[in-house]
Amino acid sequence: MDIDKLQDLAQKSVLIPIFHTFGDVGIEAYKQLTIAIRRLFFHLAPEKLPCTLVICKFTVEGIHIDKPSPAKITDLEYALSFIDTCTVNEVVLLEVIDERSYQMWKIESVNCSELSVNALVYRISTEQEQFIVDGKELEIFNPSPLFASIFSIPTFRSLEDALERYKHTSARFSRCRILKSCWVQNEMIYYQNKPERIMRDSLLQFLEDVLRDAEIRPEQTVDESHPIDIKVTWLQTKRIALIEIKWLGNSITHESKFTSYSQARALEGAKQLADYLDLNKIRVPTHQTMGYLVVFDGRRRGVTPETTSMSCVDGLWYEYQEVKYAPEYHYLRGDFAEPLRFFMMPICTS
Amino acid sequence: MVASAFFDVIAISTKLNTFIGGCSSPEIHLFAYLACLLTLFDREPISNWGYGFIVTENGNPFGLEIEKGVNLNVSRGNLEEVDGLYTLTKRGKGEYSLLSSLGNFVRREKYLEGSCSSLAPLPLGYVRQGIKSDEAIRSAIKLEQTNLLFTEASLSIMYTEFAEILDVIGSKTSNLIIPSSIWLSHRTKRGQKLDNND
Repeated sequence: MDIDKLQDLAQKSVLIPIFHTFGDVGIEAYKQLTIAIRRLFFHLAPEKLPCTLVICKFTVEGIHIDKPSPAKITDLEYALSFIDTCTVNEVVLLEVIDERSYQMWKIESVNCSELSVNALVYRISTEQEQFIVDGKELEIFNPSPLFASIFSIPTFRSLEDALERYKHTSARFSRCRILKSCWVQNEMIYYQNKPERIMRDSLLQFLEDVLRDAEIRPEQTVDESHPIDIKVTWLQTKRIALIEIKWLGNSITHESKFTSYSQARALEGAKQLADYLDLNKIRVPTHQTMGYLVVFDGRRRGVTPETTSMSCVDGLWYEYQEVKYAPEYHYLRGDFAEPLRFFMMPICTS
Repeated sequence: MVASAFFDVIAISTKLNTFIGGCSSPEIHLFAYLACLLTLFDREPISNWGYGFIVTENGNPFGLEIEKGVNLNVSRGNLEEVDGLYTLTKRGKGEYSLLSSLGNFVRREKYLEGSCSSLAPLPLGYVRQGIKSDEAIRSAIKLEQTNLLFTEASLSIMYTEFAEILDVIGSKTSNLIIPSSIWLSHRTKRGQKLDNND
């Protein structure tokens, strides 16, 4: 066991300073506070917060925030409309009284340091979140490269729902820290050489973080020459999903070798997946297998190795251009899901 | 069926409900296994837990007594199953309230609470990944076959890990959420490193 790494983790753990400051009462307050944060982020994506949000839970019985005219609510769902009307210069302060009782204020500023003397304080602003304990700001370690807050990581039981979420929140704007690295430039015009591994790792990490009751594995052998990109095995049933990943667009090597993949690549991927499914039927006949073709679409119009910026017309040319599959395996076969295309937005200059 | 497994199922369902709502059977097994592991922080023999676990070919801990416990709680009306997720009924809440005050089960509460409340600092996927970094579990996944858990080698590693974690924490606490979350975080990082080298 690496003691240095362990000590590093212990130092990053917010629970130790909370315990040292408040004892077991602080730990109980932490649990109640994080439950409230999760409930709030179930209704409100932290990426979309219009202002700074401060949530606190007192560790001393009977002490509460004594500001005039609080908005009192019993369900955090109702906090959404309150927060929505906040401006970027305002702060929403929310006190957790108990699991069915909260009070909120919209104010100009909050002295978190002062508040943290008797309360556990959580603050999030422009996707940076901290706990403040006895005046000290503690960074919150977020293991996921995909979500703005560790408390906003959703769970899904359906792979389709998870993939849909990934499409809109991660792939579309290359939000994932892993996925961002597949691009050569910040403008997201063309990919690094062989970006498929990065795409696979990004989607794999996402599914591992959010999919319940499933084992997710990368690069699983179906036949000797070509592994499937991701295999999902459900724990309670005899169901398997095979995910094949392809990318469309342009990539460039360090030696400036340019590769372009268009719709034909997606059709190739569909054929490949159909073949995997046939082989898998022989290998694992007792399991119900479903194939998913996932296409990361980074196509841009008129891109050359010299392109350094993109107009909106050229950058978004393919945004709504779906791939026309022939044959349409998703109609011809019961084990082939409708292919998913994740269009990845560029940053346009005009 | 072992009485402690019956209690553990109802306790875990209650506690997980706060964090994730209804819970599935694999999740009940997973958190029962984690609770059992947490007894090592107090240097308790694993056999004191009352029942054992194996790991399935998909890498999920499985306790036969837990499975029986789930079935019995459902048939007694303590748990309700909808679409593969179990939630506590009103009857179940009453039964948990009664059982959790009994001497036999009070001691177990500490470990069950430590296990389930690891979901306070860590997301569910992370907790699962941390538990699955165990050598025996990784081996089961790789070979796609069931495996024994709590081998002498893996127990020895865990005793060492837990002792080091308690050293780092410093003060004594009965609240196992702290060592549990540090241990799971460490295990997840190690598991990810091993995956990259596979």
